[in-house]
Amino acid sequence: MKVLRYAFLSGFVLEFMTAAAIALVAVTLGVRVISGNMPFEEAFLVLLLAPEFYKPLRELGVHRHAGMEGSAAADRIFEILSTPVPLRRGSGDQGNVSDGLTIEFLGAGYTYPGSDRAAIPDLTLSLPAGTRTALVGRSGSGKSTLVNLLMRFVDPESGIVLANGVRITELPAKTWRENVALVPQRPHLFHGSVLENISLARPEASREEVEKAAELAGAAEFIGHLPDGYGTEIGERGARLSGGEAQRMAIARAFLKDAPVLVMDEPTSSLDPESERLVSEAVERLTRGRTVLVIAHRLGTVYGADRIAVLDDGKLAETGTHGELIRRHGLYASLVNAYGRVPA
Amino acid sequence: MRTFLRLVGFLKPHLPGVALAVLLGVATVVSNVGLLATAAYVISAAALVSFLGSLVIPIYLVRLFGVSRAGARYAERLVSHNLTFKLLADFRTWFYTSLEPLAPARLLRFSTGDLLSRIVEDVEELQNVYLRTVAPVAVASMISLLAFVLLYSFGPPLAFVALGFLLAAGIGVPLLVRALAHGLGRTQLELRGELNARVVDGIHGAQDLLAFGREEDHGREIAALNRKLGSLQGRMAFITGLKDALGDLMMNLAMLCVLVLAIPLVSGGEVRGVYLAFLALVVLGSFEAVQPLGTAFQYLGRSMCAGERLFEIVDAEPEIVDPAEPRPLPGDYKLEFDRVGFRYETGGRHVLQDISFSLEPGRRVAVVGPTGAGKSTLTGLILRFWDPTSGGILLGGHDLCGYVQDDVRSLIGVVSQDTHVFNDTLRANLLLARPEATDEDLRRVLALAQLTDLVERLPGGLQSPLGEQGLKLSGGERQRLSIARTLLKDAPLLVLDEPTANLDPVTERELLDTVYGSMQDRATLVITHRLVRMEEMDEILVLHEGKIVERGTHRELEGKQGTYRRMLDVQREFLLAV
Repeated sequence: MKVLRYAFLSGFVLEFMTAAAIALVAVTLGVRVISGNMPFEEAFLVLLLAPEFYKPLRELGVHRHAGMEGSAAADRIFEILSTPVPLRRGSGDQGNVSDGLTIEFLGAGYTYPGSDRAAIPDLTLSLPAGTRTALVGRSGSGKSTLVNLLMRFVDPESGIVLANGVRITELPAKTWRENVALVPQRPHLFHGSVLENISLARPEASREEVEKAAELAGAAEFIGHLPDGYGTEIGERGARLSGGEAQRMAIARAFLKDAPVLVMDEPTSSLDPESERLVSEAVERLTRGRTVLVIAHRLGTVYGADRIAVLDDGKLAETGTHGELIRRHGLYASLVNAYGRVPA
Repeated sequence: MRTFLRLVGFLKPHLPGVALAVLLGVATVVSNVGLLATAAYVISAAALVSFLGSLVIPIYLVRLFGVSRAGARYAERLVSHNLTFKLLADFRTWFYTSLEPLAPARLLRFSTGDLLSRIVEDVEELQNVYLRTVAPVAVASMISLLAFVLLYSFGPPLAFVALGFLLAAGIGVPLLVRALAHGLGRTQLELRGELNARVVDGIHGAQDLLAFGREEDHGREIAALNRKLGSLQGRMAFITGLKDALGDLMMNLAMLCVLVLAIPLVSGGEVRGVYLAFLALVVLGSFEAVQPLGTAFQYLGRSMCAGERLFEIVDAEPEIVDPAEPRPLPGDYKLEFDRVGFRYETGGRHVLQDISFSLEPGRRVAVVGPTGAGKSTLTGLILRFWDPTSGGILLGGHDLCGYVQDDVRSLIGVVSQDTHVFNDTLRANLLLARPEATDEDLRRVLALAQLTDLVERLPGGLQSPLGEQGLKLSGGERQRLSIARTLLKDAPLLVLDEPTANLDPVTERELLDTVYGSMQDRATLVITHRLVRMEEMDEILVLHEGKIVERGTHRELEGKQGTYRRMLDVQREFLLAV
C-alpha cells in the first residue's frame, strides 16, 4: 500500500501539471483573443492540442515502471549468461574405441566456484577397459564430482583425465560424451512418449532397436501394460512412472546408446523388491564388456565389482575387492558395519 | 450470471466505499470534461464578447477543474485500492473458512499438481471484479448519462448521437475485439504453458540432455515454440491496436457529428455560438470514461472463470459430517478394522481392500509394505479424514461414524513423516497438542523426547522462535518435536506413520528408542516401509496393493519365503543407508 501511495502520488503530480498547464494555456489564450492578438481559430486549435502534448508524458509514467522491471530482469539474465563456461573447447578426435576405453585420472583436482575447499584435491585412479569399479563413500566425499569430471560436466582445474591415453579435454565435450552412457540416480523423464524418452539416447534408432533396448533393460513388460504402450505420454504432465520404472527407462537409454563407458549412480532409497530384482538383472547385462564406474549403495553392486574405490573427503582412502577391504578393517569396513550387519 | 451476482455480493458490506470510489471516478472525468469545455467556452467568449469581466467566472472554473481533476484522480485511486485490499482480505477469509470443513480429505486432492497454486491465483483474480469491471462500468454509465442530459438541453439529436457513439465505443468495440480475439487468448496461454514446461523440463533434465548430446535439439524445440508464441503475440498486438484505433475513431466521429448537427442549430439561432466549441469538447472529454471498458470485458471473463472454479470447490459437500446425535466416547479404547475397503472415488481403484485387524491398549501392530501399498490411507481412515467405502472401523465396539470427529481425534496421537513446525515459539508449537499444559508438563515431554539438549542450547528456552523466522530444526529434531507433542497429548491410541523416513540410520535408531519407550501400555499402530525393530511387534501386517498379503510376527514372517522376506532381503542388500 505504501509503495502504491508513492506511485499514486507521482501520478497525481503528473495529472496536476497537465491540468494546470491546460488551464493556464486556456486563460492565456482567452486573454490574447480578447485583446485581439490572436484569432479565435488559432486559439481553439492550440487549446485542442494542449492535452495532446501531455499524452506522451503521461504514458511515460505508466511505461517507466514496466521499463524498470524489464531492466531488473535483464540484469538477472545477464548475471547468468556472463558466468564463464568452465569447459575448454577441444577439437581433437577420439580415435578407435572398439577395444574398449581405459580411463585414468592423474592428479585431478576440482573446487566448485564459491567454495573454499576442493571437492577433489588431487585424485589418481585408473578404470581399466572392460572392468567395473564401484565408488563408495559418505555423502560429500567427492563421488559426484568424480562423475562430473568423467562426464565433462566440469573440467579439472589441476591434473588430467585420460581416455586411452588421450586427454579428454582435448576433445569437444559433445564428441567425448558420445563414448559415455549415464544412468543417473533420478533419471529425468521428459514430457513426451515412452518411445521418445528412450530414443533420446539415439534419435535415429529404429523402433525395433528401441524395443530391444527396453527388453534388455527389463522395461518391456511394464511398457506393455501402459495404456498406450510405447506411445504413452509420460513426464510431468503424463503418466507417472515409479522409481524402479524410471530407473529401467534410463537403463534402456544406456542400452540404446551402447557406449564403451558406463557411469551409474545407484538410487539410495529402496525400490520395491520386484523392481530391485529387475534393475539389478538389467544392470548386470548392461555392464558386461564395458568400462564401468558406479556410485554404489548396495552390497550386490560391490560384490560384483572388480574393484572398490573408497573416497573420503575427496581423497582415495582405499581400493580393493570387498573381501580385501573388509579384512583391512578400514573406512570401508566401518561403513558396511554402520548398519549393524556382520559382513560376509 | 449467478456467479457474477454472487461475486458482486461481496461488495455489499463495502457499499459506501464503492459509492465514494465511483463518485470520485466520475468527478475525475467530469473535471476533465469541465476543464476542456469551459476552456473552449472562455476562448469562444473572448472572441465574441471582447469584455474581460464576463469571463471571470469561467476562468475560475477552468482553474478549479484543473486542480479538482488531479485531486479527484488521486483520491479515487487511494480509495479504490484500499477497497481492493479489503475485498481481497474478505475473499481470502471467506474461501479459507468455507474450505476448512472440507479439509483435509478434499485438500489432499489439491496438493497433487498445481491446483493449490491455481486456487491462490484465482482468489487474487477476484479483486478485478471490482477494480476492472464494476467500477469502470459504473463510472462510464454515469458519465454517459450526464453527457446525455447536458447535450439534451442543447438539442435532443446531439444527445442521441453522442450516446450512440459512446455505446459503440464502450460496448460495440469491446464485443468486436472479443470476437476477433476469440480463442487466441486460450491458445496463447496454452503455448506459454507448453513453453514453460519445456524450459523447466530442459533444466531438470539438463544432465540427461548433455549426457546424450541432445542439448541442441532441445534448444531448437524451444526456439520453434518461441517463434509460434511470438507470431501469436503479434496478432494479439494487432487486435489491441485495432481496439485503440477504433476507440479513437468513435470519439472523433462523435465530435464531428455533434459539430455537424450543432452548426445549423447555431446558424438557426437555437444555440448561442459561444457554446459550439464547448459542446464539441464535452463530447470529446466524456469518451475518457468509456475507454477502459475494453479491458473490463476481458477481466470480467477471467474473474468469472476464477469465481466459478472457487464456488465449485466451496459448494462441495464436506466428506465427513458429524452425526446428529453423537455417541459419548467409550470406556475402552479397542479399535477394530472390520473388512475395511476404501477408494477415493466411486468406480476408482481400490486403495484398500478387506483390511481387518484390532488394536487394544498394550498391543503393537505394524503395517509394512512398499510405497503406494495404501499404508498412509489407514491413518486417514483412523483420523476420519475419510470414511471407509465398505466394512467398518469400530471404536469400543461401535462404528466410528457415530462419534464426533473431534472426540475421536482427541484419542489419537499421530507421529507422521513430515511434521509441520509452525512459525512460532517452541512453547506454542508444543501447546498445540494440549493448550492447558503447564511448563512442567512441557519440560517432562521434552525430556522424554530427548530434546532437553535443544532447549538448553536455545537462547530463549521455551520462548525461542522456531520455523521460518527462527531456528531451523534438523530432520531428527523435527520428529522429536512431533513425538513430544504426541506425548503431551497423552492419547491412548498412537499412530506412527513412517516416523523415521528420511532419517539416517543412527538417528533412526535413537528415535525409535524414544518412541518405543513411550508406547508402553498404549495401543500402537506403526506404519513403515523400513523393517527395523519389527521383533517388538505383536503382529505385522504386510500390505501389497491395498490387500493384506501376509500377517504374523517377525519370526514367523522371516521364515516364510513371502513378500516380507523379500523386503527384508532388499533392505539387507544396502551397503549403508545415506
